[in-house]
Amino acid sequence: MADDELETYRLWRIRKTVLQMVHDRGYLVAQDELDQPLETFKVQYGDRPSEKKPARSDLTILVAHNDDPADQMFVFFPEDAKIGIKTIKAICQQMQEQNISRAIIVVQTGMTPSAKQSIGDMAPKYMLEHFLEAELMVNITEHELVPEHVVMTAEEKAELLARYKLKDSQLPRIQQCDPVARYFGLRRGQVVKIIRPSETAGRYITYRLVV
Amino acid sequence: METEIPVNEKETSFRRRVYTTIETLIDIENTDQLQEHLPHLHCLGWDEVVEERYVNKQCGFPSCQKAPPKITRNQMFEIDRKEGKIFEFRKQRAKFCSEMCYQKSSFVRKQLDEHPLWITGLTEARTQKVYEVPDESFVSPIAEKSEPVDSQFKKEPSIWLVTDSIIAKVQDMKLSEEAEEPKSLDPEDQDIEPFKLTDDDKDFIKSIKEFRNSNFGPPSTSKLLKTAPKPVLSAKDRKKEDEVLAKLRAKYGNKNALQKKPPILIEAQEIHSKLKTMEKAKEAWLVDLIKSWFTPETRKLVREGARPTGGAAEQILMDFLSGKKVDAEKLVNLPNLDKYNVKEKRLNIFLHSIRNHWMDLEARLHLTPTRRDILSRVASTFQLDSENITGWTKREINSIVIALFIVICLVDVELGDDYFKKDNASPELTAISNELCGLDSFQITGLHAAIKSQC
Repeated sequence: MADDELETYRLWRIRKTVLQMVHDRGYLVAQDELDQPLETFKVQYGDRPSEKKPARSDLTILVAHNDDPADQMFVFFPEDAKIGIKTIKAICQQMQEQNISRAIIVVQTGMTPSAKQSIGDMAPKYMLEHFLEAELMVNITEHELVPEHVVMTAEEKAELLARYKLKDSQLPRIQQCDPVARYFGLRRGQVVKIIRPSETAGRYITYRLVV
Repeated sequence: METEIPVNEKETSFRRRVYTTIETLIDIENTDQLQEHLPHLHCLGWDEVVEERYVNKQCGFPSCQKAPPKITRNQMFEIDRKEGKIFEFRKQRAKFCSEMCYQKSSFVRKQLDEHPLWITGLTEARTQKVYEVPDESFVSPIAEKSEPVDSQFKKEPSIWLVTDSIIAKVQDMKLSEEAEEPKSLDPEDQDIEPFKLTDDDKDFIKSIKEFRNSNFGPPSTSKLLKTAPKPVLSAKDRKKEDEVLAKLRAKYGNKNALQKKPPILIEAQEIHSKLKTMEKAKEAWLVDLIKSWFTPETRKLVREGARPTGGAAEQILMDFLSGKKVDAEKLVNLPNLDKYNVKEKRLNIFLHSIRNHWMDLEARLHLTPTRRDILSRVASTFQLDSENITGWTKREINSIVIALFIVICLVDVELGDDYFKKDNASPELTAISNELCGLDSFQITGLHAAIKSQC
């Protein structure tokens, strides 16, 4: 079926982008998973999404951080097109059981306002991020017009501020809802180093504080 | 994503309260609990509850345990084939298991505050307000409302008055159409129609106004209105129509007939005369030519003879005594808008083109030149246009001159007696005409009869 074909392709693309994103954030992802072609994906998960082969729940990913294996992250693919408070609660319950504090939710069409609010309410304890499927069809950081972003650690940030004798409020800013900031899952107060090519200087580096 | 932390702590707590209210209403099981939660909710909050319940595959109305019907279609619009209309897909309605639940939900939503709790605060208006919570015996207020509207229409029989008068109007129109069918080409029709219609319309509007004024008056008045105007209308109409027709006939009547015929006939005859040089055909084109010249004035002149009239003053007096309406506009000698008086110019061209031949005829018949006045008088009544004033051969002009002489004979009785005794051409005239254009006595007599019949 043409619909199945398209849906499988979509799921493969989304999964690929998610894995790249997770990898860029510093979580462990096997190289062959990152390079997985569509054929292998079909063999592994099936090619009939309309018959729940694969079901979205089959795509759920659990990854651990490079530096701290205890820091794990879930990637959920809820079945419902639109998700409400109940789905969020179910996810939180699962995270609680597994003792995991971070998760990404890949939503098909959208979320109810109260569901978004509930994500905000969970914030300190459970870090939930949500992306639309349509947003993950392409990896925006690979786009020609998106310069390289490097997330700085707390030490690097302190060094930067000391070197230039700055307070962090004196840095240029980037919004937390900026697509690249969302891609890296940046938190308020973090600093990102942006390296962009320059005709005169070869490359030009700016630092931006997430607000 | 983190939402921005509200600075005001009170606002935060209110937001939290609304959120918890929504959360509880999602799982609420009976309507009794609904009452205490409603003060914390606003319209959009209620919508969120409905949305949340729908996402959880529950009916949108809190406490309803049924599931809404599953919608597999993705379309935005619905097409009603019977009505031939397109409706937007009712997304809100689809969130409920039944129309009843939808009505209940909108009934509750209407009572809720427009503004959220964190803006208004927990005011007395909110806390004191008694919210009606629909239960099992709930009857949709929308359904109730729609009923009286229907009954209003049913109760009012005088509504038929309007449709009745419309029917009457339509019938009138049909009758007038049938009556005027034979002379459908007449421009009179167009003139009469609007007159009649406006009159009708006035009555129609009047009847509607009366109906409005009496508003929901007793049916007896409506009957009176319905029946009374009909006979009055028809009598009036007939009278009106006759008057208007008479007026229009006096104005345009005979002219129309002549104005329409010439172009068609002349063209045909010109071709005819050129193709066939037969005498009979020649006679025919002559008659047609004269026909094209003739106007009511010419006829009048022929009928009345060449006696000198008492001038314009007498004419006006006579018209006045006979009760004829004088068209003042036509009597005034207005300056020519064109540089030349076209009619006069044409008359000159016409007279000039036949002048020599006419004088020749006069000389042969030994007529006094005073007769030429009659010719110009007759010719001035002719309807001359660019087609029928000049461009003939000598032979043709001769026959035209003969024909004109016949016309003058009809006008001038003395002359007529001389040359047409008992409608037969005199030998003198026959001889001359035979010499000039080859017409024999029989043809002359025929021409005479034809022209006479025109008058």
